[in-house]
Amino acid sequence: MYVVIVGGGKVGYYLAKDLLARGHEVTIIERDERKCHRIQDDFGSIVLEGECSTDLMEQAGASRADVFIAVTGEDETNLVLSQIAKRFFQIPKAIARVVNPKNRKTFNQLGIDLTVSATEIITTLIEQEMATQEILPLVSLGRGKLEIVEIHLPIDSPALKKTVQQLSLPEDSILISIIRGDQIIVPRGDTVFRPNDTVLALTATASAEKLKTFFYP
Amino acid sequence: MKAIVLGCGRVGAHLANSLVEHGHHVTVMDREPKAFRMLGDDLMIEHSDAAPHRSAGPGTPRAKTVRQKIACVLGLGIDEDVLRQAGIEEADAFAAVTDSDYTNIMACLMAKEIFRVPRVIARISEPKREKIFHQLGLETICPSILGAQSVFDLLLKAK
Repeated sequence: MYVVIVGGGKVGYYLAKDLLARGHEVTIIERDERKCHRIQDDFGSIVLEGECSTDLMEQAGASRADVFIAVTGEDETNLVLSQIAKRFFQIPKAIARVVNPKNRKTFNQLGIDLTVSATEIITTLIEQEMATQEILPLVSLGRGKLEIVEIHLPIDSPALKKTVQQLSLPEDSILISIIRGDQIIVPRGDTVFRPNDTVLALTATASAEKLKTFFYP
Repeated sequence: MKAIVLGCGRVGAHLANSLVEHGHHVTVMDREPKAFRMLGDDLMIEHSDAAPHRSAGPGTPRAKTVRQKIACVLGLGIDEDVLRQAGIEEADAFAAVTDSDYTNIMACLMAKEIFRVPRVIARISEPKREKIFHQLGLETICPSILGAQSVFDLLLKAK
């Protein structure tokens, strides 16, 4: 695969390192001279120095790239360059880093649907560690429309002693498995919930809140 | 017309003043509170008063002698909430004239594609980037090229 990366900071550097190790072809575009030298010293001549422009992208062979990744520290730059990659160079996949999680929605609205936000990832991980009475989102799928969630049943859960069938969950939610101690149970219609069960479910993100009412008092 | 000017530097402040002089409603946005001083003290109003003014109906002639004040909104120009606060949903025109080209492009894309503002113009500093703007379907103005052109014209005229 040929990957063009804009931004040779920590994210760009380690991304390139990983991709190269997996045998992919990589070009990094970076404006800072020192960062360019560092990349060149470590990985050879895979770096183009300069403010990323259409000319520089052309020089990087953007039109034959399979993936374009914008990971500078500036959301505006990442957005605009991803737009150019998609609209002008018609690169099949453009991934943008979002520094301010608030901008993710804007990126999506403007047609950049593949975004990565370190802030959001860290926040989610911390929330997973902290929350007890919440539905924990584990994985986001289908561009955020679906998620796999984890639910810990408290001892006063309204689902207790009921069967899966009796619970009649929302139509756009489905149970994947129940973890009971060391046991992993594939839920059937007649499976009964017990306190301290951990339930894994696949749900439409919009219905996650509704799902909560079935398991928490 | 209701216009929003993003960036209250020399270009933004001058543009806002000119628009107001011609009787338009103007809201200026900047992330730096001090920037609004460029407008001149007597012209600023707090953003709490910045609710979109409805222009007078056809029956009421507008008093041209009274200068409309300029509404100021503090915040990032690429923040949807701040743009809404500036009244972008009712705006007829949007001009992004900050000194950051990418901020201008992103803000203009938002104005055009998310908020459907009828008239959107971006300033760019680096002439090479003009191509990018055009590829994204944006109307642009490049002061460096305009300046060079004016000097060029004057030099030739002087001969």
